Amino acid sequence: MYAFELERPSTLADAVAALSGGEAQPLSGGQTLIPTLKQRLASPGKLVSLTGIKELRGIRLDDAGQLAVGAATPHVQVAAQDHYPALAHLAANIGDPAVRNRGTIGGSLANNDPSACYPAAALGSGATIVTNTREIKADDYFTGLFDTALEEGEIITEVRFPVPRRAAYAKFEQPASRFALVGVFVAQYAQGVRVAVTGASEGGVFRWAEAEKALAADFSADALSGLALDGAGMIADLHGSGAYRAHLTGVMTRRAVAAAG
Amino acid sequence: MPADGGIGAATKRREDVRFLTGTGNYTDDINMRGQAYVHFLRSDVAHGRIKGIDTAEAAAMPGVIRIFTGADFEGVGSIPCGWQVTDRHGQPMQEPAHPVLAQGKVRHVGDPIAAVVAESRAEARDAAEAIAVDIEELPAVVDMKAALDDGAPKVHDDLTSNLCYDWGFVEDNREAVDAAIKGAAHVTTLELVNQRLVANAMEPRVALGDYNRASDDSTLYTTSQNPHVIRLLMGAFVLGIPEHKLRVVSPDVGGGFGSKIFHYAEEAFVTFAAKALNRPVKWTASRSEAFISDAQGRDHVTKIELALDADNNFVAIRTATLANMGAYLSTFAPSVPTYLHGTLMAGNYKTPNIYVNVKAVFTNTVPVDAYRGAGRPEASFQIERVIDKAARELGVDPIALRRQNFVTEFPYATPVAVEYDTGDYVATMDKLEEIADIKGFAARRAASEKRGMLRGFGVNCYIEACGIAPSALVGQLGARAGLYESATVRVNATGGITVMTGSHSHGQGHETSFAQVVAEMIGIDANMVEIVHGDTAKVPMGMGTYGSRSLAVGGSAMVRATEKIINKARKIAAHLMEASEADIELKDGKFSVAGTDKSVAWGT
Ligand SMILES: Cc1cc2nc3c(=O)[nH]c(=O)nc-3n(C[C@H](O)[C@H](O)[C@H](O)COP(=O)(O)OP(=O)(O)OC[C@H]3O[C@@H](n4cnc5c(N)ncnc54)[C@H](O)[C@@H]3O)c2cc1C
Repeated sequence: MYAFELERPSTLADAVAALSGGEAQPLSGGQTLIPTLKQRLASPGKLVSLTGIKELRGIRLDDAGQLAVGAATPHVQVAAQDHYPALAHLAANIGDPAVRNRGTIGGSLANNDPSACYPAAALGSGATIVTNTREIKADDYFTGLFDTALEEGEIITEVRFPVPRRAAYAKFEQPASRFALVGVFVAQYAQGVRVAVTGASEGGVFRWAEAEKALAADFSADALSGLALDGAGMIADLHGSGAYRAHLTGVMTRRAVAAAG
Repeated sequence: MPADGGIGAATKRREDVRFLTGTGNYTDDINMRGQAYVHFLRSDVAHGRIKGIDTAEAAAMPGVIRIFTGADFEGVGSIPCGWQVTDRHGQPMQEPAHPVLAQGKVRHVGDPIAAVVAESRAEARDAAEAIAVDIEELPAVVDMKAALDDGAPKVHDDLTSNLCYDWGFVEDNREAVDAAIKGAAHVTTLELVNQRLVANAMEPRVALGDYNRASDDSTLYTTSQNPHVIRLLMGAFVLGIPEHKLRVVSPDVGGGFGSKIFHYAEEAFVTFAAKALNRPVKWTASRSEAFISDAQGRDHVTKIELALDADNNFVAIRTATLANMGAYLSTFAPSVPTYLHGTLMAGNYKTPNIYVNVKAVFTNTVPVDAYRGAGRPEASFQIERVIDKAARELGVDPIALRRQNFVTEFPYATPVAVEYDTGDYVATMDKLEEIADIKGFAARRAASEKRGMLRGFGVNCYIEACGIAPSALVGQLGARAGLYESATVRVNATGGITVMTGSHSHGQGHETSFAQVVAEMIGIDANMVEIVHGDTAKVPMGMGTYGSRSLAVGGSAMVRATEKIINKARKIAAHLMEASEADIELKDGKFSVAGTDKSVAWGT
């Protein structure tokens, strides 16, 4: 770790101000950022901790009935809410207890790891990512591997999830970290079905349009038979080839549909 | 019978009191007044020529005490190899020098180039990043076959090739084996890779060197499975410190799996630097560093042939193995694919002709040495895999094929130089078939298939030579030190017993189990026996723990020493009770005079 300054603002306005200086970076649960610093892969001059800001923490139902999760809310609290069970289940299976007690939804979405779970939930639910300056639709937010629509210094403040009729997340775990080797989030809304896949594509989380169409007509695992993804553009590493992940995506989608009931 | 039931009794491990309450004393827990910290700058290329090292900027950075490079170690010895293998032609293996810090060349990713000693760990690391190393990257060999090609880049320029040795075992069997394979009714050939792995003990390696200028004594605290072996190798071969001026302490050690047997450059460095700087110097490996500086395991590529006659009797086994040594010879590396591997190649079977060929190869990779079972699982893996393949090729039951070829008469002298004194493999297989319900397997498989699942079945027999010793034998096989063990049993004024053993516990629970052995021999409670290990100042001699030798060899020494104690105690009891020594009986910790009611208890 290189030396850095640490600020612990208690209001969003102070955090935004602290981050405007350049060389500064937000610190939330630190589950990604701290290991990166320990490896000396990043050298921010200043870290601005978000976890002491009350307005960024907590879970509520907003006026439109959406589940609104403060960006600095740890996974363990999302796991404990019962408005959106599929989301609770997802949060309850992220990493280990230490990661769930420290790691936050805002950190996860800002990081946009191609194997992380929350991106699948946000995209699969058509969530809105709220920042200190604007609201971004999930469909516009995830722009690639570790890449998002966030601007320099922009802070996620809240994530709003429309609550679906039924939904489920099925994850094939990488056992060492419990990140998704492939994870599929399926949610059914009045307007249609959304299927978001994480862990599989080199471009990060994506929606599987054919599966969404098939499930909109018939929400059953059988409706997916015959559908297959191509291994090209899929992540290939020592855990599995692109073709393996493409196949696994089909399997996990069927499991998610079956689990959604 | 002692209160806790004696040998083998299921009891709570006494060492767990400190481990479970966070009061263990690991090497990294030890800190000394005035201690400085070292950070090693390691090569990030597999092979390269060092053209220059500029430490000027780094040396001026905050907290830096001194930066060492290979030049500082020119007069210092090479990290030694503890085992010399003689090849098929009677020639000694090729043995390269292994400097503490790289000299002239780096030979694997992780090879230490420079060492920064500073007031804090962070300052040492910061300064290491500021060292400018001019390295001309050279083509690297990482594949063993390619390393043996003519014209392959040489890992060591002063050796004739990358071949460490070409070993035949037993060389005299070679022709008979070739002939048997030629004349066989069936030959099954299998090529397999036993991949390299990283040992990765929970506790990374740590070394802390200390020097007493007044007495000229050096002390090394290190995460070792065998502090005495480190004292011998480092003292005699690297730094030239006589044993009585060098103390090596291995306190609680968090797992070894073989990787903490060997003498490492970092140990020599901190001991050397502590004297050079007249300050304690400490090194703590990071997990990432462990992956490129701890000796790794396995890494064999093998072709094995199993020849059978028309009745499916095994007639010959021939193997050709390439064994990766990595870039340098780690302490026991040459012994692993040879004597710890070739001698096991008969397995549980009576194959009359066996020939094992092993070529050990230098590559630009992290050194490889003993890891869990060391060579013996590699042997078993080959035999059992080739038998399964033969069974498939011949369309016979893999268990029946094994049973047919089991050794059934003992003693049995294998063609690979060992004698099995006893065994009953048929009875073991009978038991296995019963408890695994082999008969019911077909039905279980059918039931699984119905559910769309696949069910597999595997069987494996294993025989292992444990407790590597005695000294005379291993000396003949190339060990450069005796593999004895020592024990001192001391009776304290209270009757309590302190046992000093050269075996080392790093997770095995010796403090509990060894105490049971001594307690049962005397018939006292195990709580009266205390086990001391891991400090050459407390235990004068020893060879440490590896190769499943602690109880077999270390335990035997303890038993012999305890027998002496009992004999002496018997004399004292005879004197106290005014009886003849021949009439003294020992039972449940009490000496009594046969045929009388006179007795005297242990410790009174
Ligand atoms: C062992 C282990 C296992 C894990 N397993 C899983 C798993 O199974 N599934 C899974 O999905 N994840 C997993 N994770 C990741 C974990 O879920 C964390 O949530 C994630 O690392 C990031 O969240 P954080 O709060 O720790 O962010 P931090 O590490 O603090 O920050 C991450 C990045 O986001 C930025 N950032 C943080 N908050 C904001 C904000 N509000 N606005 C803008 N930028 C921000 C930071 O500047 C930084 O660049 C695992 C992590 C570990 C260490």
